[in-house]
Amino acid sequence: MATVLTEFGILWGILTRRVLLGVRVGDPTPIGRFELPSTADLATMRDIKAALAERLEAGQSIHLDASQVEEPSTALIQLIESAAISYGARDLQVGLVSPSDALCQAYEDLGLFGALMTRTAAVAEP
Amino acid sequence: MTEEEDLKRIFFLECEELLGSAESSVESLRNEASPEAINALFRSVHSVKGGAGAFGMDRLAKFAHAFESFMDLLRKGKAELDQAALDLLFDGVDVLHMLVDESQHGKPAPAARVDAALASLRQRAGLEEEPEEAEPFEPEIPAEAAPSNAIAAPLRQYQIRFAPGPRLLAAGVDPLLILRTIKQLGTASVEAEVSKIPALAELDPSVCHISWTIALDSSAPKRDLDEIAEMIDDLATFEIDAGPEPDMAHEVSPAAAPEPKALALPSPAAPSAPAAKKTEPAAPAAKEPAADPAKARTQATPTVRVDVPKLERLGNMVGELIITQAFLARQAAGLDTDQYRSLFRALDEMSQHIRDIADAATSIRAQPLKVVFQRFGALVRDLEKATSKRIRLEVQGESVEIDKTVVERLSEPLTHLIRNSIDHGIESTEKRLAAGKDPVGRLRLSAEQRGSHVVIELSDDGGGINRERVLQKAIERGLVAPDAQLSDEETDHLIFLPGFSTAEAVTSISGRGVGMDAVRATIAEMGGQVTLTSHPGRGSTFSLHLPLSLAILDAMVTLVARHNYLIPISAIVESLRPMPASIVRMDKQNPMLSWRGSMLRIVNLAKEFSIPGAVEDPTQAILVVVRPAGGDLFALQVDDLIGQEPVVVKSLEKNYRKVVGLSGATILGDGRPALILDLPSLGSAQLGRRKIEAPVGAD
Amino acid sequence: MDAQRESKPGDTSEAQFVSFEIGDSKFLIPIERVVEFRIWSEPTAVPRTPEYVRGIVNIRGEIVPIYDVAARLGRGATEATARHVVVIVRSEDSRSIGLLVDSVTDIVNAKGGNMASMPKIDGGNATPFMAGVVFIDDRILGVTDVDRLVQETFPGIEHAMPAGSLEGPRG
Repeated sequence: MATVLTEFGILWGILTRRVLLGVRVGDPTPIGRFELPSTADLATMRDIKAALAERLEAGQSIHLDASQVEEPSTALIQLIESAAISYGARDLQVGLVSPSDALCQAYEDLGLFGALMTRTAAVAEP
Repeated sequence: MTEEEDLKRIFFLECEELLGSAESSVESLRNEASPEAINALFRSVHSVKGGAGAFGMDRLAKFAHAFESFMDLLRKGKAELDQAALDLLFDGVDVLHMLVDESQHGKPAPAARVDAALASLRQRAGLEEEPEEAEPFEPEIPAEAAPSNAIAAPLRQYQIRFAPGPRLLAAGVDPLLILRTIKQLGTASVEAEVSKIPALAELDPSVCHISWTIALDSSAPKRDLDEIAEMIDDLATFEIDAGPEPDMAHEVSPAAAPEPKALALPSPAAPSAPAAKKTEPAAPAAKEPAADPAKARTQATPTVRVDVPKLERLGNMVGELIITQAFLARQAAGLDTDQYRSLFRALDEMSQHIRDIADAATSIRAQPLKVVFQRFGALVRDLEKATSKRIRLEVQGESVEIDKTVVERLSEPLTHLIRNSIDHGIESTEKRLAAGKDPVGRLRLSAEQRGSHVVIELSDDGGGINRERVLQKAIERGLVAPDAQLSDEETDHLIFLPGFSTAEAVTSISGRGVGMDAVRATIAEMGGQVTLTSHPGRGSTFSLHLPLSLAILDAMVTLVARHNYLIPISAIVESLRPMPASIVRMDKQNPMLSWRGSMLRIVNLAKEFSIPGAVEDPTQAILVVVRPAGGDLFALQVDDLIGQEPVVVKSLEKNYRKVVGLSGATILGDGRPALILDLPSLGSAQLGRRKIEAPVGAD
Repeated sequence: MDAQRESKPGDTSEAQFVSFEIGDSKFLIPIERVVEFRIWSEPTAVPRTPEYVRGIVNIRGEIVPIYDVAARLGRGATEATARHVVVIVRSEDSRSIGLLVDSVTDIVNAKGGNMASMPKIDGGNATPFMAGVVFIDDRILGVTDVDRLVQETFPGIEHAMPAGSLEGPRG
């Protein structure tokens, strides 16, 4: 039962992501962009953290291009979620653009599928 | 849940079917007095009687006995099937329904109606008021009979709390790996606790602040989880709560333990559903005393009854899915792996999911044979008393699993066979002593999976088939021509004819010879076969060959000349291209393979199957060392190996017939059929040789 | 055999047959037995099988054997080409087989009065695999006995039994 649900969940996530990507969004405030690297080890994590902090300082929402993420880690996801908390506190958003299947799967396996949906949905919201 | 309850439940399921078919027989008798319909009705009633007797349902047994006696007269043409008789049959089936209902649900059948029908049947059957043979069995197996685990030992429910310590990430352990490992053990529902994640500014990316609660439904033993815990011993908190342990877990025999399966689909409320409400104990009823077994049972494993056709449809669709997936994989094989990386990844994932679906579909339908086998201990004890013979029953292979519908329908034919063996096969104690045999007769019931089949054998060490008498009886009954020339084997098989009985007097145990006929018909309906080998003075063996209706097989696709043959992966020990020095020729014909210090027979597939154009020299070919079920290692010679593929086993027999050396066929990714090798028969040199020389054609 | 194939003068019931050719002979199959037609393509060979069984094919997920009718009738194996046709037929008990024939010609209507079952000689059928004959336009056409053909492939214990006493009751 649970397996079916999660499989369906992934499918749904992928579908949603594809559909939402097609939507062009009006851009009232500038949105920062950052491309996540394919491997997110602890070293690159500091760069990503710095980039996220910088945009937050600037008061911009950020879109993370996650299409290249091949080897996601718990640390990376924790970083994204931590950023989401901090951005959210200032009414800003962290969006995930085209998350790779590997990243989707990692979110799913960590029991954070709901968070993934929020991150991807953020990209499309005006 | 007691053994008794399980058996009764199966019996009532059978009754539903039997009475259904009885009804249609009566219906068709109204249109035409066909001997087939009379036979069929007789058999249905006979089977109800047998079960009712075994379970001590006296009223039902008594009534069925009268009904059966009347049917017997009709069958022999000693009673006329007039309107009154037809009415009586209709009424009789109705009353049977009521009596079954009474036994099943305790809803009393109207006594006047039952008595009236019973009196009419007895009168027309010419029975005494209280025939003694109506109670052939010592009824009532005690209700506190050993609790059974076989049917629905549920999956264990584990509750795991996993909280990484500050050094876990730095030590190179990603929680993702831990969670994925757990997920592989079963069905996991993972809940993450993210409230401890600090704000971005305070976050140290090398420390994991997320923790998890995992509800895992798994048949894996707790030590699998303990191993994970040990691995991250001082790096994280890893608490395992194995949950309320089901009572029957203690009873699980080692053989049956690895894959306990639920009998039917779990309902949404069943323990295997995602454990959203964690506080709810897994199987509360399982802990209750067995005072009210029926009630305890319903509470312990909520089940949903599913129409068999629906299950069958599911099975077929899964089969089609696997074939389609193999087709896709073949199509994709031509593509550039770099360019279509994500496509390949998706294909991989899909094949894994399909495999899981297939496993689930198979497991829904599979049940261990124990479910039927376990009832025979009591049966044999009863028959020992009834016949004053002494018998030792040996049971083997009861953990072999086979399609649920097959399991359910097996009890009837196997009961008949066991009764037959005890009644006609095993001699009286005096006779055995006189013949220098052990006074205790031996009855051996065994099951074994061979490729896409399960073979169930029942052997006795009795006197064997008395061919002279069988032939004489068959001639007397006009079943064979007086001048017929029959081989021993053909003579033995005469006992499967309808209406055949060698018992001089109708005994209360084997009934009227209807048994063997019913056995053959039932097994044939399931797509199986019954064969009999008998040795005068030494005993007989009945073999039931039954198909596994839905079987997914991991197979190695091999090439011989231009033909594909599939070998079950599970039987492959090693494949190798032999060095010339390892090929030993004892005689010119049959080279042997010297392998790890022993000599293995080389079975050249091209030679066995007369395939022209294959590689002849073993050193130029591939030798696949295989271990057939229950047999010795040998080496199969093929030209080449193509690759591994999960395949759906299809019956070759449904439209064609059994071919020695093949266990079935399948459909490969390109849509073409391919043949699956039957290793036990290929490995047994004698069998293989003998059968090749037998004429393959009909007539 | 089916009642409609018994010869009854004045019988006006009609039956339909698919006719096929092998060499210069024409045969019939009751239309209700025909499942579909296929163009010949080489089937998967099955070892330890008589010559007239050409192999097995996949018909909608079922494994179906292909019979070379010419070879079965003792006329030698057919040199099958893409112009040859395989007629998939189904027996009374739902077993399917494919019949390799030279060509399928047409659909034939026959009146009940023009049909006869096969004469029995010495208790045996003079022409095995023919259930009967149909008279059409001065020609006598044999009707293929699908049930018999299918049964031929099952030399199980049934064949050790005397014919006629084997039919277990079916419902």
